[in-house]
Formats: sequence, C-alpha cells, structure tokens
Amino acid sequence: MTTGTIHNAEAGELGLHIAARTVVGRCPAPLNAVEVAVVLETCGYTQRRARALGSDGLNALAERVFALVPLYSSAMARDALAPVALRSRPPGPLDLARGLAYSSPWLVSLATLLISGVSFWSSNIAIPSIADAVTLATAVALLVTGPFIQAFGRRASFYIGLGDQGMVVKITRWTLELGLVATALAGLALYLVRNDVLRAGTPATARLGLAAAIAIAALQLGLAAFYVRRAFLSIGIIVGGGAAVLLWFVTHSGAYTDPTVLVVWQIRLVAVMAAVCWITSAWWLLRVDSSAPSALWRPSGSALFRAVAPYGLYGLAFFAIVVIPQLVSGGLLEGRYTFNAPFAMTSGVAIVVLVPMLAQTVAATEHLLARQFPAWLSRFTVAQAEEFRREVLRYWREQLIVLGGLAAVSGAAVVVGAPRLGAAFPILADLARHPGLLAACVVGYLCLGAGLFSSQLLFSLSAAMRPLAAAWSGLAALVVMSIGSAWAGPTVSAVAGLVAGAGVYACVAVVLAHRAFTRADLTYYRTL
Amino acid sequence: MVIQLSPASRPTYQHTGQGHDRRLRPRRGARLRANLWRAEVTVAAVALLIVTMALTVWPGTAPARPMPAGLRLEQSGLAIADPFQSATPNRELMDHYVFNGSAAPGVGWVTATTHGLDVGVGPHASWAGWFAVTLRAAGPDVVWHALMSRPSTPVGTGVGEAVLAVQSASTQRNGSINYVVVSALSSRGKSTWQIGSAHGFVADAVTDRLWQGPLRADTPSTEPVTIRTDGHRSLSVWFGDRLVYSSHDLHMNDPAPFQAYLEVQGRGISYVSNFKDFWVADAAPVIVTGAAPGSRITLRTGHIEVHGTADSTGQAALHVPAPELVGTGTLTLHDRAGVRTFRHLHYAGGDVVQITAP
Repeated sequence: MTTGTIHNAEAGELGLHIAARTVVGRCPAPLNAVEVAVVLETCGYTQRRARALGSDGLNALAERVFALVPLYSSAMARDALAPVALRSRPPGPLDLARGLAYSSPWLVSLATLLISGVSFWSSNIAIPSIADAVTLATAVALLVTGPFIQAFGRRASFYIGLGDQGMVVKITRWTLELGLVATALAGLALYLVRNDVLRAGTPATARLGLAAAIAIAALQLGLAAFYVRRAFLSIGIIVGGGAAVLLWFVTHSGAYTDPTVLVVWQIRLVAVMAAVCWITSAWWLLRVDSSAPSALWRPSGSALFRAVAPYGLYGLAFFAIVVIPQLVSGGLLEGRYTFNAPFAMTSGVAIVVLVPMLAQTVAATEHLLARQFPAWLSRFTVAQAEEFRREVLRYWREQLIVLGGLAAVSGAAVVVGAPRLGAAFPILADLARHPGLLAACVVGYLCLGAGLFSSQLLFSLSAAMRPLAAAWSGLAALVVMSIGSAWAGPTVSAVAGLVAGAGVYACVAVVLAHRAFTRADLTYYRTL
Repeated sequence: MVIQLSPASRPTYQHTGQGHDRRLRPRRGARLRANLWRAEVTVAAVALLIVTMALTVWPGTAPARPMPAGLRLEQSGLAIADPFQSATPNRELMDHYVFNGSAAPGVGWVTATTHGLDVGVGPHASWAGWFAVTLRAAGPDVVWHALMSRPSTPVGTGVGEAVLAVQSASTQRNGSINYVVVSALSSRGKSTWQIGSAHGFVADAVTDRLWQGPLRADTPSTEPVTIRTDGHRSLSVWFGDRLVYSSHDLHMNDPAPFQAYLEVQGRGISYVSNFKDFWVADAAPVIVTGAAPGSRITLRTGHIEVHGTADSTGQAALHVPAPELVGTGTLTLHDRAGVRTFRHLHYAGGDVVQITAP
C-alpha cells in the first residue's frame, strides 16, 4: 500500500512536470495560475484528470503547475514572471475620486469661471462677434479632434506597454499630429468661409477664431498623452497654472477688463498650455524604452487604420452629439450662426452632471479590467461559464445602479441648486429664468453620461462596434429631431435634438452593453 | 490616484514577456529618430505660439502716425482716434465698437460713410435708442472729443436726441451705469444743447441737467464737443474752444475707467446722430525731448500756438488746450544752432516726441 502510494505520488509529480512543460510549450511566460488553467483546459485537462494528479480541481492543479513553470521557461521569461494579485473588492469612493481626476481640467476651468467670470475660452463678457468666433472655434476643435484622440488613446497605450518607441512616434504622428493639422485646415476653411465668403463677424475676430480653433485643439490633443499615462498631477499643474495666470490677469486688470485684450490673452494662454503639453509629452510622457522591433512586427498603415477607425468614428459621433446642439441653437438650420447665450449658459451648467458620471465610468471600467476580471478568471474555468456570466451580469447591474444613483443626485442638484447660486455667482444670474431649458439639458446630458458609461464598458470588453452603432444612432436621432423641431425655433430645436440624440445613444448603448454582458464568456480574458 | 512619476520606467506589460528578446536588439538609428521627432514637436510647439500670437494681434484703436523726419514718437498719448472720414464696413468698426441699444432688432442702425459715423433709429413707437460704444476704456485723466451733429432741421413731432456720453466701464463689476452726457435735444421745431450727469444701477439712469443752452429754432446743429471728467467731482465741457461748463464740486460717483457712447435717442420718430473726428487722448502736455537745454519750442496749428522751453535735461512741455489736444501742427525749435522746423506733426496730449536729428 505504501509502495503503491509512493508510485501514485511519483506518477502525480511526473504528471505535474509534464503539465508544466506542456504549458510552457504553449505559453512561454504565463502571467499567473489563471493563464495556466486556461492553457491546461485547452489542452484537455479536466477536473477528473486534475484530481488524478492529486489536486482538488483544475485551478488547484494550475497553481501547482504554475509553481513549476520557472523550471521549464527560458531565463528571460522567468524574469518576466511575477505574482499577480487576484483579490477583488467593489469600486469604492477612492475609485470614484480617481475617476474625478479625469475631469480635472474641466473642473479647474469651471472653478475659474465661477470665481472670476473668465475661463480658458469662455467668459461672461458677451461681445457677439467674439462669442460667435470662439464658440464656433471650440465646436470645430471638439469635432475634429475627437476621433483622433479616441484613436490615440486606444492604440498608444498598447505601444507604450510594448516599449516600442518607433510605433509610439508613428501612432502619435497619425493621430495627434494629424488631428492638429486637420483642425488647422478645418479652422482655416471656417475662417475663409466666414471672413471672405459670408463676411460674417469682424476681421480680427475671424483671425481670433482661427487661432482659438488651433490652440484649443492643440491643448485637447496635447493632453491626450497625459490621460494615457494617467499623469493627473502633471495635468493639474499645467491647467492649474494656466488658471492661476488667468486669475492674476483678471484681478489686475482693474475695474474694467477690455474683452478684446481678455480674449487675446485667453487664447494665448491656451496656446502656451498646449505647447507645454506637447513638449512634455514628446520628451517625457511618450518616451519609452525602445525595443526597436523588426519592421516585420509592425502593422501596416492600413491595418493600423482598421484597428483605430471604429474608435475614431465613435469619437466623431460622440462629440457631434455634444457640439451640434450648440450650433443648432445658434441658427445652423437657418443657415446662420449667432451665439445663443441662454442655451450656452444652461447647457454649460447642465453638462456638469457628467462629472460624477464620468468618475463612475472610469472607476467601473478600470476596476473591471484591473481587478475584477483577473479575480473572476482565477475562480472560474471554461466549463463554469454560466456562473461566470451571472457574476459579470451582477457587476454590470450593480455599476449601472450606482450610475443611476449618481445621475439622480447630480441631476437634482443641478436643476434645483444651480439657479440658486445666481446670487453668489453673477455668471449664473440669468439661470433662474430658464428652468425648463435647464431641466431638459440636464436630462440630455444624463442620457449622454449613461451612453458614455455603457460605451466605455463595451470598449473594455474590446467590443468597439457596439458603442459605434450606439453613438451613430444617437447622432442620427439628433439630426432628425433637430430638423423636425426646427419650426419651434433654434433653442427648442437644439434642446430637442440633444435630448433625442443622447437618449437614443444611451438606450442603444445600454441595451448592447447588457447583451454583451449577458453573453460574456471567458474569451474576455483577451481584454486583460 | 495613480501618478506616473517616471514614464520612461518599466513598461506596463512587463509580465507578458512580449518583446523581451527583441528589446535586447536596439535598432540602428532608433534613438536618433526618436530625438529628431522630439525636436520636431518642440519646434512645432514654438511655431504654434508664434502663429497664435500673430493671429491674435488686435488692430490698434488709433491709426499709425508717421512722424516728420528728425522726430520719433517715444510714447503715444492717443488712446482712440477715428476721424470717420471714409466708408468703413460695420464688421470692421465692430473690432473697436459694440452696437446695441433699447431699439428692437432692425430699428437701430450704424453706418460709417465719408460724411461721418451715423447712428440712427428707424420708425418705432415711444422711446428707442441705439449706440456705438467703444470696446476700449480710458480715463480718468483723458479728454474725450467728437464733432457731433443732429439733423439740421428741428423735429416737428416727437423727440430726437443726439448723444455723446462718457460712462463708467465698471458696470459688470459693480452695476454702475453712471455717466456724463452732452446731448442735442430737438422737439416741437426747436433744439437745444444740454450737459448732464446721470446716475443709475444696471438700468434706467436718472439724469441731472447741469447746463442747458437756449431752446431755439436756429440752435447750431453741429458742435465740436470736448469733455474732461474725473468721474467724481470735476467736469468740464467745451464747444469748440469755448468752455461752456466747468465744475469741480460735483458728486457724480462715476468710477473710472470710462467708455464713450456715440448715441441716438428718438421718441416716436426716426432720427440720426452724426459723429466725426472722434478721439480720446491723455489730458497731459505734449513732451518734447532731445532738445538743447534752454531751447525754445513752439507748436503751431491753424488755431493755436503753444510755447515751451527745454529744461536742463533737454525736455520741454507743451501745454495744449483740451479741445486741441489732438491735431496736426508745425513744431519749431529755436536753439543756438538756429531754427529747425518739423512740419505736419500729428500730435496728441501725452505724446513724448524725441528730436533725433542733430
């Protein structure tokens, strides 16, 4: 009996070593026991066979095999091995706070606007020709840069992780730099149409609009690398520094701030911040240890384009939903554009509801990728897909409920609280006169936040086509509703388009995300 | 919060093992190419700043003033100058003025022609006004001037008013719409000129009439109006060279700086105000530097002759009367070397003009 036990144990030990060699043959440097379990399962190892090798199950076998992997992997692969934490807890306030860091430039800008009545490209000094030029420039900058930023965000992190400096440069050239060139050309086209064809605005504000489009786009594109590297402290320093300079300028301009001087320095300040961002990105954030891989390893331009195109198209549609209502409110459907102060003010206040929703989106997405999936994959085997799906669905529902709670609180706070701040902040003084408009805009942006949340979770599952479909559906609904309600005037048309567009986007995105999570399986391992 | 302190450190996917072997084989020229790209980005960032600076240069509020040979304008005291002698598209005017008023859209209008700047209101009921207000503010130590006119024929029915107002620019900060005003009022076939000080918060200012000319059918329809005020206690108004009102004991509470309103008001009728030769200049002497100590300097225009003597530093102050603070004249320098004359000098109060010729 003893002999037999020894024989069984030896056989089990031998089986473990065979399993380890098998795993290393398929996967030279497995990340953790989860990956070992996946390889073992694909090689035909079952629970029964695991028990035959002296383990309670496949996961337990995988852990024992994982411990043997260093014996059979190459020295280099062994260097790459490291323990990976598999514990998980639900996203909490800290995750939400970290999510808020994504909105830090926006929050700094809002704070500056409330304190001084002036921010980077907006102020409460409404000279019509300046307001027209700057709001049009902002719209152009958002619309054109959106696709390039999305594409860069998706691809650059991959090449930074790979340590491929050449591809980091290439992807930066074809996204951020191309985006800046495209915005400059779009801004130039707008300048020529307004200044030389329509003779709209004034000569100086037409030039100012071109400068604003370039500077704003440069800042947005310049900040992209900071988001990819999560350099929020650096973002805070640059944006906070800009805000401090602006505050200093306003407080030292005396009793009267010349709006022409102010807007000139606002745009120049944005350009300085953008220049700092680009230089910092090139010399620091986008610097990686160059692996200098063989050209054979690098994707062709067309392959790269196919990979990033869905994200770019999504970015275009998403920012179109944000921007087009502003243009419609200015009379786009009547073939003109005049800054619509009530709509700009109410929508500018209502969009604040996106701040907590964006924080929740970031928290839920990063938690899913960084902690939740590894934890699930350490617990479930391929054969346990049903249980896995239930967990995935539960996570999706919980996060959606949290989002709904945040949306309700922030929406109520803005609708009820913001008009009451008019006494303290002159820039909000007229808000109380437009309660219906404010409520409608809040509904629109809450829907936009829900769509964004669902889209980002879908992106985290590498399911790019579904958010793309949702965003374009929303954009189509926006266009149809805006045109359909044009008879009621630009403001009503704009807000109806916003609510319809964001609503359709949210509905489609939530339904598609729900279906994606319902059908989840362990192939989502690839998202890690 | 995750703070990436050293982005050049270990790659994110170090555990995957991907690319480890390749990482050991640096590609020839990779580092150089990366540094070239970084240099490109740096140059492009600098170019962005230069382009932004160039595109955001705002046109000056006063035309360039060529100096006669031998003189150099060291410092300009001319804040705003618009002769309104040429037809100028409104879109160009709006780089320096904002058009607004109580008149309904389409009722108020502004046109700059060779005959001056017309500010008008079309047919309407009750009171309606329209104005061109300067974007630039100035003061308190400045002089405001315009040749302002109302239609030569007095109004029969209704009321028409041509207005030049100097108003506090601090409305957005403190809600004050206090201003001083010179107006040509026309009604029932007669007209008069008035000077007043108005007080109000945000809207509906109440005007205290400080001076009024005779109400007659033959009141002049055009006056060269010059205003100087500190916004608090002092107000002086000239019609041409004639000081028609001056007080240093007012309580206007009109905080500086100020903006000029070139304005029209009409009750029940179409009306138009006309403005020419509009300027705002420092209420300060014209300073001439670079003269030999003791030199006598004279500025002659068609109307006035002002003298000054260079002090030990070679500087002379020419105290030009307020209504003539901006103009064209001949500067004559008398020193031991003889007499030198500089013709066609476009001067303004507060200018510092240096004699450069030996």
